This record gives sequence, structure tokens and C-alpha cells, in this order.
Amino acid sequence: MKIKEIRRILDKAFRSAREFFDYADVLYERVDKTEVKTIGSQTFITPLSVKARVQMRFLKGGKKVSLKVGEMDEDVLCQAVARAKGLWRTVRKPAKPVRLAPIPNPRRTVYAINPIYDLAEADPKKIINAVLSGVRGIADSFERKYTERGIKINPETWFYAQNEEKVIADTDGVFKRQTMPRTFLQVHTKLTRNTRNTPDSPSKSTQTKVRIADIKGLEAVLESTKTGWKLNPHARSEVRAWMQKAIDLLDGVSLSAEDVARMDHFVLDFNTLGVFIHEALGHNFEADSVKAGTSGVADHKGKPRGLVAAATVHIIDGPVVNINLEKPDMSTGFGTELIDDEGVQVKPKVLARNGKVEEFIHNRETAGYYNTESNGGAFSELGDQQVCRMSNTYMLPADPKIVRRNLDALIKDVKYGVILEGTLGGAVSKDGMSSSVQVGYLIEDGKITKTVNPSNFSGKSMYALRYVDGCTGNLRIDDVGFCGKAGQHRPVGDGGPTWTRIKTNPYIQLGIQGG
Amino acid sequence: MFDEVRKRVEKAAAAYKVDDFEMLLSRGDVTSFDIEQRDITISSVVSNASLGLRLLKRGKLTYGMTTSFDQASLDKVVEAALSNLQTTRVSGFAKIPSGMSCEYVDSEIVRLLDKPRKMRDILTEMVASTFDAGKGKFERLNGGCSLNVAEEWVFTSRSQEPAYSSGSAFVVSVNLDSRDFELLALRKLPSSSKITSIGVKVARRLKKKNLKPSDVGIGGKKIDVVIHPMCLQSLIKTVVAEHIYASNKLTGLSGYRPGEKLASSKVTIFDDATHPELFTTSPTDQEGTPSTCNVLFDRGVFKTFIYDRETALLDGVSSTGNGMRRPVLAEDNHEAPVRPTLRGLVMEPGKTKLTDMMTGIKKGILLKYLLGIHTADKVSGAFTNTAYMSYIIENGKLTATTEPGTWAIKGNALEMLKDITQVSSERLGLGSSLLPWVKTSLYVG
Repeated sequence: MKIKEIRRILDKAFRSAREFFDYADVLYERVDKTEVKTIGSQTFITPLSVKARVQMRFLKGGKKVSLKVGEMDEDVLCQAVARAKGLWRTVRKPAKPVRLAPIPNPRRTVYAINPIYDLAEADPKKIINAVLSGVRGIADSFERKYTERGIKINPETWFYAQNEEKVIADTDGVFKRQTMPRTFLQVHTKLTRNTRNTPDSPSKSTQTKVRIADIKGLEAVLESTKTGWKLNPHARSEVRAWMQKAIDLLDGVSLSAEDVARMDHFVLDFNTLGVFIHEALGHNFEADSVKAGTSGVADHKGKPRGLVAAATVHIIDGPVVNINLEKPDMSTGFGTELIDDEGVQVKPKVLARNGKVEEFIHNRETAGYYNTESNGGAFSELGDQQVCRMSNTYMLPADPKIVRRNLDALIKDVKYGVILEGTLGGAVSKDGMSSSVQVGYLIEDGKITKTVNPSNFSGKSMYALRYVDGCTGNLRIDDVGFCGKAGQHRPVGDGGPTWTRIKTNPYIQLGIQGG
Repeated sequence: MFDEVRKRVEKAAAAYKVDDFEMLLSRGDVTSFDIEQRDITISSVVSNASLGLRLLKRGKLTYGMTTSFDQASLDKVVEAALSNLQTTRVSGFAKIPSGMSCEYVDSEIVRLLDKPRKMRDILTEMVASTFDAGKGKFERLNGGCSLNVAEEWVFTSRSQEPAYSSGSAFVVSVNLDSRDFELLALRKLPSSSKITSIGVKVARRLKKKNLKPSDVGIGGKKIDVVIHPMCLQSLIKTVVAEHIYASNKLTGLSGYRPGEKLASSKVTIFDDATHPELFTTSPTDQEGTPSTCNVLFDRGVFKTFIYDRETALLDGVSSTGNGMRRPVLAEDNHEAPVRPTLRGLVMEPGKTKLTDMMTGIKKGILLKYLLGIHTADKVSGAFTNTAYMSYIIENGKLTATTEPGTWAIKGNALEMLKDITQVSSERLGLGSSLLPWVKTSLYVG
């Protein structure tokens, strides 16, 4: 839809809204997507899906109502205004009147992240073939390499590339538009050894999952060739690495609760750490959760309940910043956007500085409630209500003393511990969290000795990260996923240093599958 | 609405010489109430419609999806879809029999959608009585309520008329201090006293203490567990279902074989897409195959895999009416692939009252929710997750809530079905499931 047409429709809807309401704003979101999924033996291809939705919000006298409507259409929006009036009369004034924090920089209108290789200009058939054949080719090479072990690999591939557009406008004259691409590849390796299942060589199945994604065009996953496309070196390397881990897991061992109790350290890769931070801490910093009293890190007035991490680390949400918490990089991170879904420019948020609670993730409503500025944390899934959401949540070392030279140096003084790599996701409650781990590697006297089965990491939100005592490697936030808060899926990234070491403590539990 | 969209799809299909098409068109209205302490806010979803398309051309299949229904948008989606056709065993879409229609719309819910004042008043009363009943036992009350009316049309180019379903739904939930919750999910609006009482129920049973496994001396042990219907639903739909889907049988990832005893004799489970109380009931699946009630487990014996049209063709059987658009993770239903999918999960009640089931337990837990159960190993059935909003049972009584993040529960969902020793006579409707409480044993880490 052309911008001029959107402006015309919104002008009319806002004229109608102004007759009754103090304020109204609109979020229009549209996504054009190319997608392929392989599930079992079936391949499902959707060369193009087109989705658009509109969220409208109305305020008057400290009361708020919101509506989601199906189309950016003059009649539909004006009908929604009429319906909103009826709903508004039904709502009772809340204990503290609803107030929206202002949108900074209201005059800027255009925000864009431009792809190098634009989906709109590519042949979907060639893109999809490149992804599927690239993944299958890697699986074939592993099957050939491990012929003697009778390995069969069924890689389930999920790939999409999409162009996103959103418009935020309000009755005060704000009109902001953001356009950006997002590209995603997931390879879920399902591996079976020896389907004949003989007593001396029983069959065994293992699985791993890897995701490669960014706010980039097709270049996030593919590179161009003379005839079309192929997986880029980063995607190939990641897919290979995680297929190899599925093979490693064939020799995986379980550890008993007593074994785990003997451990002195857990060493988490950025994926495992990232989902842990997202679930254990990140959700608890969303100001709507704080306001509802469901946050484990602060009471409903926003008063911190205590330290949330070791004094040697910071916890950040937003684009990647440097070690001095400066120079946000808005060009990368699966959860990165330039403006949030209320038109507020996205800022890095220092959730915890040296382990102490510093800032929450706000939308305009919670910022108004707590009498502070919005920091660009309002997001919605295609026309749903804008709630406080994480974008990329990660840990940064705050004290150079905890940074080790490399992984060998980090595990050198671990007597008995485990490296935990990769995740299949997690979940959070007010005070506790749970996240899965794809593969482990046992550390005995500073050396890696065995592959350990998948496990589950759970902990008490407030305490789990107080015991971080070392880290090494570059900052990575490319543990990507879809956070499902309030039934709304949102792309997010999370992570931290490539490896982080946590001293075992009473607030973290590890349960290992099998045994 | 359907007729207009159908004409445009037919026009686009003719223009691009599509041999056969299948369309899934849905539209819905929702009025929601968000409860935070004594504040109740209202939001609404008005006439949100989505269209999912499958097209066949020269024996090959493709998908398309849109929320814009003007001719130009539909033409663009159809044109793009045809750029990438895939081999399929489906040679044509279903011919939907005439008269496939069902309506489960409660006129009171429809009325309240536009005039929600009465519902606001009921919820206000519910909140007030919950605070009264739970004085000193909790600080924060959160909850929600939604009134939904939805319509769905499934149509294929071989059919004379669409399969049509319309239904209403009412859902209300209350959560106290994130320590316990209660949920009511029904097709029809319940009495106001029933709505008002759900918060009171939670407030009365909520305990002051939060305890760790070590506090009650059951860490590292296998203990008696009563699984709440909501948790049972997650375990079956997330893990067990993967072994029931024909697609996984065909790829060798299901360990199930019909005729084998794979659950306790006390377990009889149906997939019932005709059950009048469930939200998922409709005259056909989303491919136009008439809905049925399939017996999955009969007194523990596994009876059948569930099929959509394609997996049925691949396995030389008929579709069981389970061809539904099932998302992989984060996509809208209308852009999800059609796959064998559970529709209405119903388990036969047992003969033991829930209170009697707990009476025999010296030390155990009532497991209401497992955090992150979606991360369970779907192939082996193994899971290790944290108990959430659950209760400790001591000498047959609920004595405390489980302390968050400290109760790691380890088990295997496939084995859990075999180890069910009691099934409650009461069942709870959860919208797409009707399930009892069951007693089994699991490890606590």
C-alpha cells in the first residue's frame, strides 16, 4: 500500500477519533514472506505469504481501549473508532490513570535497514532450492563419512526470508515508517544410527537444532553464485558443526543427580547462557511484568529485590554495545529494530550494571506509569497490543579480571564440571526458569573427557547468575529464537561471551536425560 | 464474506490455469479483559480474517497465504505460489459433501462482544470476592477473560458448497502471586456465580508456604505425582502426539504400533473432532474430510495413527480427518503446512474421586504445569523440567506450593502413560481437550 494512501486513511480515522478521544495512535504492520519447511519426508513451500494488521489505541480521561482490526481501510478504521467509544464507556478508570510517555524525535519519519540481496528481487524457487540442497548436501557428506556406523540423517529445514514494513502514527501528527528485512534458517538434525537394531549394536536416535538468522536480506544465509545461490560459509559452518554434535551425542552418557552434585562449575556457551538470561532475567525486567507484580527482580513499585547477577557482569537488552556500553550496532541482531512498535527509537538498556538492577524495558504506557522515558521496548506481533518485550538480551563482562584467554584457560582449574552447549528453548515463571541444553561435555581435571546427553537447566531467577566467575571469547548474540510472551511471537536474540563459567550453587539445578 | 473471496480465488485460479484449489478462510471477533489487581482493561479484535490456499497444477502442489482479499493481492499470491510447485501424492483436493455445517454460537457471548458491561461487572465482583477470600494469603492478582466468536470455511474447487463452522468461546483465568491459577474454558457463557467463584477457589486453597524438595525430604527420589489436566494435555500434545502422527510413522520416528499395549489399562483416549463442548469441533478437517471420533488408546492398547490425506495415501489407508494447518513454531495457522494434527483430545474418566486419589499419597505433588515442556525430547519422550504453580501433597493433603525453580521433574511422557495407576472421575475442559487428573510417579531432582 502506498504511503500517501495510508496517510489519507489515517487522517480520516484520526479526524473521527479526535471528536471524542484525547489521543489515538495506530500501528500498521505488513510482512511479505517466502518460506520452506521440511517435516519428516514432506516439503512445504510457500513462495509468498502476505500478512497485514492494524492495532489502534484510544485514550481519554485516563482510560484506554485498544482494538486490532484486519485491514488498513477507511471504513474499517472508522468503524473501529465507533466501537472504541462504546468500549471506552465500559472501562472503569484505573487506580492510576493511563498516561503515555512522549515519543522522542516525533518529526523523523523514515527508518530503514536495507538488504544487500533483496527478497523482492530474487526468484523464490532458486532461493529455496539453494537452501534445501545446501543442507541436504552437508547431511550426505556426513552419511558418507560415517557409513560404517550406519548413520542416517534426516535434516528438517525451516527457512524464511521476509520484508517487513510498519507505520506508527498518532493524532499528534507523528508518522513514522520502518522497513527492514529478516532472514532465518533452522536445521533440526534428526539422526538415527543402525536402523537394524541388533543386540550388540542397538539403534539410537539423537537430535540437534541450529539457527542462523539476522535482520539482513538473503545474505544472512546465502551467497550469490553465477547461476543462483548457495549457503554462505557461516551457514555451512554452523550446520556442519551442529550435525557433528548430533553424531557426538551417539556416544553421550547420562550423569546421576549425585554426579551433578559433585560438580564445581558449569561452563555455558553463548546459546545456553543467552536463553538462561532471557528466561531467568530478561522477562523479569519487562516493566509490564514489574507493574503486574509478576517480576522476580522487583516489586510492583519497581523496587529491586536485590542483586540479580555477579558484580563482575552487566546485563543488557537491545543492540550490541561495546565494553563501555557505547556505540550500539543497529545493523545486526535478530531482535534489533530501529524503532519499536510505538515509534520510539530502540536504545540499549542496561538492565543490570555490575549485577544491580538499573533499568526496565518500557513501552510508553509503563514509562508513563513509572514517570520515566520510554526506551523503545514496545513490540507486538502483527497488530496485537504493544507489550514490553526484549530484543537482544545478553551478558557483558564488567571486570576484565574474569575474562580468560580461551576455553582451555577457562576450564583449566575445573576439577569436575560440564560444558553445556545449545538450547531448544526455555520458559519462565515469576521466580524460576527452565531451559533446555542440547549437548554437554564432561570436564574432569581441566580436560574434556566425554559427551553428555541433553539436559535441562533450571534455576531461581534472582540468584542463578550471581555465581559467574569467568568468561572468554567474543560477544555473540546470535542465539536466535521466538519469544512467545502473551501469545505473541517475536524474533529475539540473546547471548554473551562465547563461553561463561558459573560456579555451581544451590540455586541452579541440572537434570541430564537418560540413566 | 466467503462468497466474495471464493469468486476472487476462482478468478485468480482460472487466470493462472490452476487445476484445483483448496481454501481455508477464517474470521473472528474477540473482546478481552485484562485483570491486574482491581484494574480491568478492555481490548478488542474486530473481523480479523485470513486466507490459506493450496493449489494443484499439473499434479504438483503449492501454498499461499494472505490477509488481503482484493483481486490484485490474490492474483499476486497465486502467481507467486505457482512459481514453486512441489511433488505430491495428492492428485486432487477433497470433494466436500453438501450440508457440512455446524454452529455452536452462544447468543449471550455474541451480545457481550459488543456490550461487555455485564462481563466487566461480573469480573469486578470476581476480583472483589477473591481478595475477600484470600485476605493475607496473596498480594497480586492477575487474570484475563475473553469472549470469542469465530467462523471458518473450508472449500475446494471440486465442491459445491463449503464446510462451514461457527463457534463461540469463553475463557477466564485467575492467577494469584504466580503460585496458583484456575481456568475455565467453555463454549457457552457460564453462570455469573460460576465465574465469580473461580478466584475464590484459588484463594481458599492457596497455601502460605513455598517449599523446596529438600524441605520435605523428597529430593532425588521417585515420588507419587497427581498430574493436573493442563499438565497432562501438554505432555500428550507435545510428546505423545508425535508418536501418533502418521507423518512420524512414515519417517520411522514413531515407536508406536497399532495393537500394542502402550499405556496403562486405565487409559482410554479419543481424538474427537465432533465433541460439542470442545472449541476444535467442526464438520470437516481443514482439507474437507468429514470429522470423526478416533479411538487412540483403548484400555491402554494403541489403536490408530492419525492421518491427513497425503499421509493416508502414502500409507495406503483413508484420512482420519486430521488434516489441519499445524504451525512449526511461530507462524500463523493459515501459513502453516497441512499435517496430521490432534483435534479434540478426550480421555475417559476413571472411577476414583480426585480427593481419594490424593488420600493415599504420603509425600508427593500435584503437578499443574511443567515449565518449558516444549523442549522435551519428542523422539524418546524424555523430559526434565521444573514444576510451576504446583502443590506438595503430604498425607493426602495439599500442604504447600512448590518453590519456583527448585523442583526439577524428570520423566518420560511415553512411559508415564504406561505408569498411570489411577484416573479421576472428574474431568476439566481446556478448550481443545477434556481430561481427568491421573496418578503416576516421577523423579524429583
